[in-house]
Amino acid sequence: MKNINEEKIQKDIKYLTEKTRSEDIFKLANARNKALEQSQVNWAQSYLTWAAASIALLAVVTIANVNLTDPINSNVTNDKSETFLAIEAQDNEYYDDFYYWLDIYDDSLVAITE
Amino acid sequence: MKSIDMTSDPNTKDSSLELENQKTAINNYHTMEQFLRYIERRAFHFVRISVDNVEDAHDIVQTSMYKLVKNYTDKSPADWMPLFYRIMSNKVTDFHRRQSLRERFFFQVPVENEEDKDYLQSQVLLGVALESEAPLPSLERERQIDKLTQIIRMLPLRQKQAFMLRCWEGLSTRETAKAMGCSEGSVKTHYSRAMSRLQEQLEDCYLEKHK
Repeated sequence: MKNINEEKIQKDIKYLTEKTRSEDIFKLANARNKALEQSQVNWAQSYLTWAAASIALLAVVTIANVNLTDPINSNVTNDKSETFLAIEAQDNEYYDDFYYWLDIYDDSLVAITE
Repeated sequence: MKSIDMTSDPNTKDSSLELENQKTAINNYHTMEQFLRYIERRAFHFVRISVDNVEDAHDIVQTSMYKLVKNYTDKSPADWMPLFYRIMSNKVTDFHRRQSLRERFFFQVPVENEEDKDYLQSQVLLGVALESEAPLPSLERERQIDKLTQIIRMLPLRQKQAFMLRCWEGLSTRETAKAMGCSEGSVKTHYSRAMSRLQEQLEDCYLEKHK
């Protein structure tokens, strides 16, 4: 029985790798560089992702704050409460003269009942 | 002459191989770039013999490099070798699955690649021309290597992987098991079956008389 000569096989494998075609060496180098670049790109991409996510979060928080305070609507509401009360008071004064008869009517009604 | 003795204690061989491998790892690569430079050509031939096609071999090596760099750069350099071979073995298995599906359902017969068969021929001729190597020994060696690769190709996939990882790369049984994703017992079985087949078929130049 004969054993396999491992050393001979390993030498031939070394020979085979040394005789790799130049186009294959080029392709392998290209593949290696692309694989290594990918790891750098990943860092850059992760930074970009974090930046984009932070900006988006900031925007959401800002918009939410703006909506909570809502300056336009809150001014209108304040204006409404003050202005409309003033107008109402003015109206009441103006129409008091016109509705004088209501008081007369009330007075005469009271007299009749009495 | 170092030979594979099937009767010797596998643990002794494992530990010596492991030590050798660790030394190789420490001496040859510290960064991922150094590792890829060290492994790329061997990996390419490993896959080329497994898939019988140069272009597919390039695809598999490239995707394996991508995956290794993406997921395992932070691992210890000593772990890169089995991890890389694990990724490649999985890709080769996927490739064979896809190919058998194509053959079964789409009746696509795999085309034999002449370029791959005569891989060394042009290089040997170029070497003879450039380095003034003796043509006959070079051509004889090229013929022997082609014969060896053809015999390795005929092995079943798992036996082929076990043989190539253990004998080509000199990985220990533990590392081979890690790379193949199976138990150490399975590796030993696949490897001994591969060796038996190769002993029957290899030419005398790859065999030595039992002492």
